[in-house]
Amino acid sequence: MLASDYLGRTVRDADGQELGRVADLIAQVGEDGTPRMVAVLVTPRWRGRLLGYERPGVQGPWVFDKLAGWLHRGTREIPWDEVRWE
Amino acid sequence: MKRVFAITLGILTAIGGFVDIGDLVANAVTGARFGMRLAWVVVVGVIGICVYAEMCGRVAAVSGRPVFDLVRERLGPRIGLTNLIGSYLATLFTLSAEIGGVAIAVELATSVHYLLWVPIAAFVVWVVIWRVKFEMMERIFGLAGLSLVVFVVALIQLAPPWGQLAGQAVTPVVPAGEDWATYGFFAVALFAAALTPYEVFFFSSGGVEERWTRKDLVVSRLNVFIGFPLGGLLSLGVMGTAATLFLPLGVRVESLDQVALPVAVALGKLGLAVVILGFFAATFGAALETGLSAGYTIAQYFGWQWGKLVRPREAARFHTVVLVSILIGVAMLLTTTDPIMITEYSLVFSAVALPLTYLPILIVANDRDYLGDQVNSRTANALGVTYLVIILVVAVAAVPLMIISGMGG
Amino acid sequence: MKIPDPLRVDFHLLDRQVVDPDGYLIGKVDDVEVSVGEDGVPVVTAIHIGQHALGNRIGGVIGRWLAATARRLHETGDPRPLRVPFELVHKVDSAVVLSVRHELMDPSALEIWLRDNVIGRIPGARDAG
Repeated sequence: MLASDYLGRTVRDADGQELGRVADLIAQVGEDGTPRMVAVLVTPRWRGRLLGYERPGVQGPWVFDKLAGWLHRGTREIPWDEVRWE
Repeated sequence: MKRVFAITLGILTAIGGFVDIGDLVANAVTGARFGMRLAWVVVVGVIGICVYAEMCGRVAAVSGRPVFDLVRERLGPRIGLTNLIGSYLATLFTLSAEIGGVAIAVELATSVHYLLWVPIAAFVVWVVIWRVKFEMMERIFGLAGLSLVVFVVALIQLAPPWGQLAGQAVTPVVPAGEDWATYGFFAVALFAAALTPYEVFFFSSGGVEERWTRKDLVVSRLNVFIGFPLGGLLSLGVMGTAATLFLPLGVRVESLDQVALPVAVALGKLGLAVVILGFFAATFGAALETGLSAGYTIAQYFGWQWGKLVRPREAARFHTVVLVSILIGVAMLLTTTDPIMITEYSLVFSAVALPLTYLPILIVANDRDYLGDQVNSRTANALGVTYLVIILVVAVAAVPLMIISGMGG
Repeated sequence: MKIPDPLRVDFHLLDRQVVDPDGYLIGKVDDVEVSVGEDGVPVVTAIHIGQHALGNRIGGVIGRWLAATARRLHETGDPRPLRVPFELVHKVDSAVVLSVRHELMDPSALEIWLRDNVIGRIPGARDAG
């Protein structure tokens, strides 16, 4: 599989409820240096790249931070094993 | 002492390198039609290029990443590709206009028709890109471009009614006989001439080529904050001479020799010789910058090896793009399209392509993963956001204004 | 910390510049390979570099054209993008830095073709600028 096969797909939870589109794949880097998938970042509307404002921590300009927060509202991380990729 | 010398040389280069065919044409044409009533746009434009050139210089020095690398990294491959097509076309039109400018400068000196000089000028531009070291290339044409100071000297020599020029500058209204659309169109052209996208491509890639590090931030800032405004002053000199000589007579500027005429009137043959040298250096230097920038944009989008630090055969794709771009630029001129016309189209194209280039610069200049403690200050962000809004307005207005005013009529 | 943790595949990897230890520009991360391990958890196993991968991601007419030209240029071997195992990724910051030199990897077919047929034939192609 390629990352591009996952990104942009609409995913559902175990009950078949729609979660949104996949915006990013989040991996934890293990002791051996291999990144293992732990979560999926889903977003209700946006299709493209999230410009980096989805990461925790402060990033300016203030207007952009607020604008990105509003445009991407509802964006959340879902643990990998709770996501159904039909 | 050596360091002071290097910094001074850098600033002088920035002054001389600031003005290109777009600035010459846009400033002279508007000076002749509107006097100094659009001078404020040059000031706004120069502050804008300072804000963004400083940002991309800082990003290049700290993270080593040039502008078009960031464009794709932040905007993704699709929007990045749209941006690539727009920016490449704007740069290509500018390249063609600059080569035309070089050929016309030689025509002014030799009286041999410029179309005969176009292939020769283009060949020499390519040879310089192929053979001459980056820093040497920058210095020679930047310093020679300083001879455009002759416009400021000529303006003083013409003893213009200073009060009247100043009066026009502080009352930026549409004069009788002109309409809003034409005024707006020339405002867009002047703004785009000051902020052409290739300037940031070239400035940031040049920083990477010269292996800037954090230590070079001071040099980068001095070049930007002293060099660019003084370069803008040369632009205003061009506008002022045209306003003094042509506006009262109601003469319109339609060719490059008319741009030079006020200098010849004020300073005679010697002045004319200096101004022709200045035209040649300014357009030739800008042809080198746009030729390289055409290669930079495409190579950086795809992640290819680029630049003049490596042997050409190790950056074959980059050098092919540069070569092909120069050939297309020549082909456009050989259709006998007026270089002034190509220049005006290049400015409109630039205005449209600007926002998508400047947005990622502003975002990355705030990213601590890239810049650590060198992220934008509040002032830089306030200015950056303000200018992004202005750029957006200009980009949206450019094409409608061009159509309504019929390219300024 | 040489690789950000957590690693965001789209944000940290995709479309970043890939360089070798000397800063030689190898390409962009055009796609990322994900394989499901023995325990059923997917892991990042490699990065893909090449216009085929980029073209497939862009899609549409232009994307297909990019991928097709990349495939056509391959004279030898199989027309696939360059695959760099993730173990060779040394660092991820403003670029993806590999721990091996570029000479040890397959160069781009387009680069070779242009070098051999166009740029390499012009006098002075071997002199540094």
